[in-house]
Amino acid sequence: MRRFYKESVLLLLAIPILLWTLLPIYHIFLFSISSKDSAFSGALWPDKPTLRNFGTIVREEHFYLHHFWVQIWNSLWIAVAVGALTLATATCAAFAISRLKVRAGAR
Amino acid sequence: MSYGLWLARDPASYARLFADPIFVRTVVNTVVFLLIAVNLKFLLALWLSGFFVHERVWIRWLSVIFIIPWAVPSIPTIFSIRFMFNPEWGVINSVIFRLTAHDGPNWLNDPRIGLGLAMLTHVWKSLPFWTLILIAGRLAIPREQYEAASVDGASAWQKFRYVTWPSLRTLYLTSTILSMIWTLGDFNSVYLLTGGGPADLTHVLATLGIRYIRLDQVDLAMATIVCAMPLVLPLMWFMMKNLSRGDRQ
Repeated sequence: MRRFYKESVLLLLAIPILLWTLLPIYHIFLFSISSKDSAFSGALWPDKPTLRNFGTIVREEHFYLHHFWVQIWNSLWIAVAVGALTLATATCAAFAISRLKVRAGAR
Repeated sequence: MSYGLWLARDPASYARLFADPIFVRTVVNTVVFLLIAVNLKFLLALWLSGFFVHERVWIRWLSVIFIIPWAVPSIPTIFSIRFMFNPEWGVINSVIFRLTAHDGPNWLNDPRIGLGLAMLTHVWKSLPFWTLILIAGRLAIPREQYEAASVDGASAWQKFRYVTWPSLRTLYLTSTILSMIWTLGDFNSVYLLTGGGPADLTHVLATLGIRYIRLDQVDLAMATIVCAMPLVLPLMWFMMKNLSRGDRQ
């Protein structure tokens, strides 16, 4: 009984945590599946959900999206390259710092 | 950095800065933002880290979802929150209207609510990171200490007070100060949400600099950043002291 009580308390806590986390993200998703004229209607679910926005992006059909695939590739390339370089530098630096003897940190 | 200091060398720009009522309001906003947002964030993080250390499969999945706000880029999410709170067509006020047939509050056009929402946005964005840090801190506490406490008949509160808190205290303090330093530089959650408005009443020091640059007053912008130093330097000093003390223990 005690265990059941604890589980239900945990589950009850999980609900507000989930809502708090996902509400703004759900709102982004809501915008992404709304058509242009219904995006600002304030509804919790659009009348006619549509995937057209995604089609516009993938086929680069908007003025701001003419280089979409290049930009995605740039993001990916930067993320991977920066990750690799940081890892390499930080690994070497961490080794050096761990061997460093500073006056204040007498061990 | 030194070029910025050089730009801010003229005492007259400080006189003009202090004469600006917006600057005074901004300093108050910044202090309020730091004290409330950071402490709220850390109390929540401390509490949530206690929730997330329970070993369940679904809690592990929940923690993966919980990390999302920290991982996603801030511009779309903060704009999403901004749209959500639009008083005319935002989702929140539409729901309030549908349920109560009254208009909801004027969210972001009210300076107090606006700053409060900026704080909440900041908390939303950076809470996962600090929760993660505190979870790591809690997981480093040997389980035997809790078992010994249970054998002695300690209540949940006593376990927290006499086992968890003494081990977590240094980490908690250091993280709070570090977070205050970072929060002082937090530009996004104020600028993207309220833009400093209405009537420049919700600026913090980080966004006020941009306001002056947009008004072509670079010297005032740099002077603003110099004025943030009296807030940053004591925090940094305190943190360094705290860290080296932690080293010696």
